[in-house]
Amino acid sequence: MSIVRCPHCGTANRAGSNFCNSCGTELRAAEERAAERRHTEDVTRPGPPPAAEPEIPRPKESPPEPPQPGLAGQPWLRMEFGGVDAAPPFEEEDDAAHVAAARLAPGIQGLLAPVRITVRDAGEDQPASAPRSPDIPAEQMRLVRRRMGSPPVLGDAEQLWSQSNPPNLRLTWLFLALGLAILLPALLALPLPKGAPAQWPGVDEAFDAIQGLPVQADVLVYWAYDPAAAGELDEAALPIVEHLLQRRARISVVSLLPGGPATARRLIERARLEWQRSENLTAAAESTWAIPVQYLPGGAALLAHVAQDREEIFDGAQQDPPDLTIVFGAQAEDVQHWLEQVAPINRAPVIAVTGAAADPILRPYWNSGQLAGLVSGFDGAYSYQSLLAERLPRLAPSAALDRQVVLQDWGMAIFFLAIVLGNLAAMFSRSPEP
Amino acid sequence: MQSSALLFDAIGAWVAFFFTLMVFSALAGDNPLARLAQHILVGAALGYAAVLAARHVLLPRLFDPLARGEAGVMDGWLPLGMAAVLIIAGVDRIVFRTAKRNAPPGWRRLLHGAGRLVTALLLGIGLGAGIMGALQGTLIPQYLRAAQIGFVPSAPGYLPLVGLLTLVLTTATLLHLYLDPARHLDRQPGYARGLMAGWLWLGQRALWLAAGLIFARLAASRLSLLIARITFLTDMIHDTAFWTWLQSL
Repeated sequence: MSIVRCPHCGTANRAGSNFCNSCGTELRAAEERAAERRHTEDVTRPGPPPAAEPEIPRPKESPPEPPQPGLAGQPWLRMEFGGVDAAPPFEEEDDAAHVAAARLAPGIQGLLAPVRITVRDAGEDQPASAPRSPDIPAEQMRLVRRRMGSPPVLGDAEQLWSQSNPPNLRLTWLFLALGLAILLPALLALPLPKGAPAQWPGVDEAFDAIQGLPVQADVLVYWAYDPAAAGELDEAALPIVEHLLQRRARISVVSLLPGGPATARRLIERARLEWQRSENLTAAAESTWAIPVQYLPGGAALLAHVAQDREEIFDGAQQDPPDLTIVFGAQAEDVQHWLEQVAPINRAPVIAVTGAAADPILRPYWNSGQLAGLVSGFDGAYSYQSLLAERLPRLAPSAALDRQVVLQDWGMAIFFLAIVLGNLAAMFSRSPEP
Repeated sequence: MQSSALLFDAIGAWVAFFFTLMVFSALAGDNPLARLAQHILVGAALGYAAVLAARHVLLPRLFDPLARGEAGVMDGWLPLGMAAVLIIAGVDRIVFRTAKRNAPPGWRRLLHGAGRLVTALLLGIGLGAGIMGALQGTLIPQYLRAAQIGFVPSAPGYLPLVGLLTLVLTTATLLHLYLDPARHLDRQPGYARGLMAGWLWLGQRALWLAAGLIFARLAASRLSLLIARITFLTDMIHDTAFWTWLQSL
């Protein structure tokens, strides 16, 4: 099926559509321009001289030609249309057609006549052939068509009218301001004040759970992030892996992501170097704790295999259940899958280390006691690192986390400014309500 | 050996540096460099995943045991047979779909049926595991926890109040999502209309608050990723001789 792209939002619409299904932009003019351009290109393109056309016997009665693309018969599709009074009268009207047209409204892509979609008071006796209603401005007609052609969304009449003239969101300027607010302090290493982020519940408990492990405790780690999310998750995972190494835990790592094992090995090596430096250990002294990292394909349905056959996966070095399990997951679903597929089977306590976006979704699992600890985002990582530096002073505070906190403040300041300025602009540029 | 590892590290860092810049260039508008970087990254990720799957899964867990003829070899032949049927059915669908319209459809129907059987089996296993997991890991524990809060005699006095507020906000949000005031409230008496309108108003605000909270954490998360990438760039720049020269000025 051929399609036509909306010049405004890029949505693919069926060829021949008058208006965009997504934003209501008029497509007919764009399609006509495209057809004209194609025609011009065909005419101007050099090619072989046309061969003589063979004579084809023409039928005596050709079938009726399809209507030409144009707005002559549909004046309500023009933006300058002044209202239903300007519409030509409908010759064949009946209530069944009204109902059918209204039901088909989302599917006929803007071919709806204005008399069909304007609200008609049932008490008024209006002849269908001469509908009378107040003039409807073109912009409102466009808005109504857009609302009729899109799936229902949250909103009420007040919001609907306020959307009729939304202020432009200048994303380029927003990105530029955000980029400069982060780039300049990072590039010039400006000495900026640093505030401590809020400490969320769950971090203390995660620290205590690891601190309370016996020496050489068996810890199973589910590594559910890869380089795409490493920028955020590495900073959260690093202090926890350092803590596990400091507690001499026997770690085994399993990942369902192809890029997971490589990410895990890189971060564990980074933590091991930090730990060596802080404890003045040589590589030979800590080489007894080799960390197995396994990749398992098959998605979340295979997680039960991890719970039941861990000995087989790791070649018999581990016994079920582990003393502790830790999920390093970029998304809330990673932790949910573990809590649904593995935790009910092996009954080991679970600590979740996730991105900031997963926190609101995982908070109920923390409140219900299914999670023994929850460390999320840069603020969770900072809180954990602070606890580590406070109670185990040999481990140095992370300069990268300090820088993350400062630059987060600058980024959030830009967001705050954008929201305030956007609201002010919307307040002063709002069109009067009809 | 050490010097070659350092060399590869340096090359990798510079490749990452330029690819980051190429991807960031999309901010200035769609351009061939950004598209090239995206295509290369997707291709490299897929190729890497395919090599990993072949090296760490197919070879050691399927083909090696089959080649050695170990006991329990059905465990290996069964997925191999399923994969073969799926692949042949897929190739038939993709390659021969248009080329052999007039071919006798018997063997193709059989093949497609076998392919659907395997797909249904995999889908059924996934759905079964997902539904059971959701029941035992989310629905039942969350329900039990919510139910326990109100019935603990030693619970602090504010907990029932919190429970009541949660109930009011939850029902208000659900009402706001599923109730159309224009259709459903018109025939109600005046006092009910006012009550329901107030409840809907509350639900709308609760929804906005929840959406705002989720969006704020999402913004913090994405900002962390942006900061990590930008600090990677600035660290690279700080390590260059050009930056050292610039600082000496």
